[in-house]
Amino acid sequence: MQFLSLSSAWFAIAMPLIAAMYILKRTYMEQEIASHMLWRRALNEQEANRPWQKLRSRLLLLLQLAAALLLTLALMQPVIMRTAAASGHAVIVIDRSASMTARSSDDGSGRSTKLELAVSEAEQWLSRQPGNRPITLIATGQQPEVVLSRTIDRAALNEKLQQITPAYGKSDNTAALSLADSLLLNEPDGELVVFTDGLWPDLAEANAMQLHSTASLTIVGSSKRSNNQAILYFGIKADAGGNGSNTAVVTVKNDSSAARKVQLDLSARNEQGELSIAAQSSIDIAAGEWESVQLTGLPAASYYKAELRPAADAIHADNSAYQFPETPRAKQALLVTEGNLFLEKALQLAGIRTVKVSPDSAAPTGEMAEKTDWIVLDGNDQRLYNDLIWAKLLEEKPLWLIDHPQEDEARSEVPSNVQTIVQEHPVTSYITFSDTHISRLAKPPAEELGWGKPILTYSGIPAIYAGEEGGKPKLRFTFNLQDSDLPLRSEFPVLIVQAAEWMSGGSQLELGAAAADQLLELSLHSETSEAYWEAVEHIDNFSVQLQAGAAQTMALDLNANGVYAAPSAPGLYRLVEINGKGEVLGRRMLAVHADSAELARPADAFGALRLVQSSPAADSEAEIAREPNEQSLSLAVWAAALLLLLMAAEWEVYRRGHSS
Amino acid sequence: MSADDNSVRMQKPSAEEALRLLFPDLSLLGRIEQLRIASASKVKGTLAGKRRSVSLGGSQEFADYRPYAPGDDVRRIDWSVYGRTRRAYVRQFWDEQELVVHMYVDVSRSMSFGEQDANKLHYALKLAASVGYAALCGDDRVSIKLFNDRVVQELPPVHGRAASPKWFQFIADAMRSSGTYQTSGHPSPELDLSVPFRAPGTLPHRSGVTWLFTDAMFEEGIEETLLSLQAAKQQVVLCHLLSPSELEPALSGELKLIDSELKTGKDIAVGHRLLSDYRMAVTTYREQLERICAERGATYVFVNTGVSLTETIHHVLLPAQALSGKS
Repeated sequence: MQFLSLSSAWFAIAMPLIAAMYILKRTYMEQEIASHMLWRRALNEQEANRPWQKLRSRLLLLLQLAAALLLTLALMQPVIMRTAAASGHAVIVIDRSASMTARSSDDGSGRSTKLELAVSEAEQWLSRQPGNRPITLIATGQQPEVVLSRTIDRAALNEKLQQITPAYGKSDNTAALSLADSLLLNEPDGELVVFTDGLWPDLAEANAMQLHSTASLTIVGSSKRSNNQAILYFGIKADAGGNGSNTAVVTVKNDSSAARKVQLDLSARNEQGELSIAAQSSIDIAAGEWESVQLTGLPAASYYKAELRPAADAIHADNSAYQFPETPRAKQALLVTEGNLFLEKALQLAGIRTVKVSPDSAAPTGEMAEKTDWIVLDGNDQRLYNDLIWAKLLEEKPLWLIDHPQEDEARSEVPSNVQTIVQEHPVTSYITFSDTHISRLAKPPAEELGWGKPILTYSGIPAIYAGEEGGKPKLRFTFNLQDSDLPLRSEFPVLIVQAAEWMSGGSQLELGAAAADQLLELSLHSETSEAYWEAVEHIDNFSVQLQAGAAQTMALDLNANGVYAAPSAPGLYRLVEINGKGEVLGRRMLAVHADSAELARPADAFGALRLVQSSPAADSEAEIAREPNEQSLSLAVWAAALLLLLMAAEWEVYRRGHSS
Repeated sequence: MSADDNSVRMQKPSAEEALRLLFPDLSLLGRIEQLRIASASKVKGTLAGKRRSVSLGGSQEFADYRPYAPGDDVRRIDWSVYGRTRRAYVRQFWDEQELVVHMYVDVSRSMSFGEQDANKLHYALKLAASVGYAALCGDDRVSIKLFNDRVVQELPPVHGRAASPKWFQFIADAMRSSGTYQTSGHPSPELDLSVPFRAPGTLPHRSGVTWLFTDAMFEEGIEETLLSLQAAKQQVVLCHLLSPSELEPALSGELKLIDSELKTGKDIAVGHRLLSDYRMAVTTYREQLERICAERGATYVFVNTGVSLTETIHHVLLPAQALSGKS
């Protein structure tokens, strides 16, 4: 209890004055009676318990003193500091950051995660609130999310609470706090209730925040060093030998307070989609230390997965990691040419291994043919089709035709101008062909071009056709590169790279790794009309569990202008792009991991979370500095009410004549 | 001794004045004439009266037969018995003697309380006058003594209805001069009832009935007085008078109660609790007196001076068998 007006304590002088009046008062009215005899008999009993009698005999004085005391107290403006009234708007902030997925108990064997604990705490808190209290539910995340706003529907609140899933991405807790606080800005009896594990990467920022509203903080789970082992780093690089095998470097961290021995499984998924264990290693890690291990001789694979066993530690999301080889196995192209150095070099620059053969030579067979991903036919030599082996090879592989129109050829034309029209196509992205000179363009018969469409016209003549034939990409350049100045232009390597990518099945490089919910700058195919994330593998059982009901695909918002959010649960995803015709334009993999800022640090590396309530210092008038979490409640009304009661009692005492 | 006290007093009231003072309602007198003082035992007096004596005598009331002995009055021989039995029997009759009624009226200051008609002393005197008148009408001998810590005034025994004016005059005079009686001046003398009765000449010499009118505001001496009166062969009627203001004090607030006799003060805060305690004390005291009287064979009569004289006589004295109707 505090007093706003201590100087009013001077009024307490009234109390000795009252006592003095009692002392000075002419105490008794004299009354003559026949004899004391009978009165003495009556008073005998009363004199037996004299102290109490004496007290009662001064009851009126005591009551008046109490009244004076109360008056003085009321004048001193007593206020009581207490927690905010429970009737105002309350904002619940649930921390659902990655660290909340930690198992609640120390050894990680606890059945529930901290998030589940927080949710149940929040439910308990809710059940204690009056039914008409408006509640707003905010979940943290990259962007704080207002799940429910100002609702008194407890069933909906509980349902939404249960539906809160962990956000593995970077969590902006300060923003959530700030949002919650701003929701309560004009509500003096509002309350901010935070359920968290207190492990905030933006702790310093949050602690520096001045909250306007009263806030209460519920820390769930133990703040002790958690028993957690995590894959800190997982890298793949190609072996120096160039034999296609890779070397993995895995760094494993032990956050627990005891040395641990963990088993590291490294599995590889080959092109056929078979996942096999490529390497295993057993690692001893001292408490709080980290250890790196190198695994060599990994077979080529489309991606690798590193996994820690046993998986029963606090946080499951960081027990697995995905990594893609630096480059997927280089594509091999069979360049059938009589000699085209520009093209050869450009293809090599694009990462394509080229095998140059002369159109006169025999068709490659066996392993050579097997390894060939696609064929560049520089000079669309009809002779090859006559060779059965060549014809079969050309039929099987994606084909990139480059015409060599001759001057005397009827089906060719000399362009009349340099006007180029470039269609939107992956092959011609970033290409303008401006100022490019082409001396002659072939005009193949229409029946040969049924598979594709012109994506570049030069002087009104189609210069590049692109399309697919039999599910295989196909390109046709109707001009001889050597008959143009294109190879001398800076656009040439770009064109070749894009053409090579197109020939490689449109497959671009894998997307790599990203934190959950991270915004990625992705370049989608220009034709893409629909794109979605397709879950290949989930890491955390928890997230699988939560998303079991949800679709395994997450559509991308294509209006997002090149910046797209990564999936929100850790795991391996495939970005599938589809064009307007429903054709799959590309599949790229993305490994999604939990935000490292949340999980990389051990629990005791975080400071203590404090919610600081701002003191309205600017408000100098009647306000005093308030303790955080409390609000003042004036007791003057109560004092006045008590005073009235006291006066009633005094009157009763006076009326009954207990006042001697 | 009373002559000194009375010398300063005004002229004695005439008989008529006295009667008017004592009995505003004269019809009461007629009813009193029908009453007589009850005496439980046979009296033994000296003068012939209408009371059956313990001795045999010449009254009309038959007592017994006894054989004739020489010297007996032959008029008393029952001749019809003699005719049947040839033996001479003498009829014996109870002797009738007068009853001596002694009245003691407490005139201490405490008796002067009670509002107007309820004034205890006035009431006691009126009651004494009534009872005395009944005695006079019954051919009994009546005397009265007024006392505080000594006998301040007395009327020697009077006898017969003819003495009633004198009787009334004395009492009316006492009523007028109430409150002027001086005490002997001893320290705290009036707290002991036995003090005046220890003085020589106070106790009656002849056996009879003693009526003691007092408010019994004595700390001690009541039992002792009863004893000494009984020793003087008195049948005692203790007439305990309390005024309504003493039975149900209408007091409130903070008071200093002044004892009228001791002049000492007592500070009290009057409240419900105290008043109920007081009422309890009064009841207890009455019960105590009643018990003492019962133990001593005395009659205890409680009189509330707020009740009219007629009612008191009919509803208190008659049921208590202190008075009885004439047979």
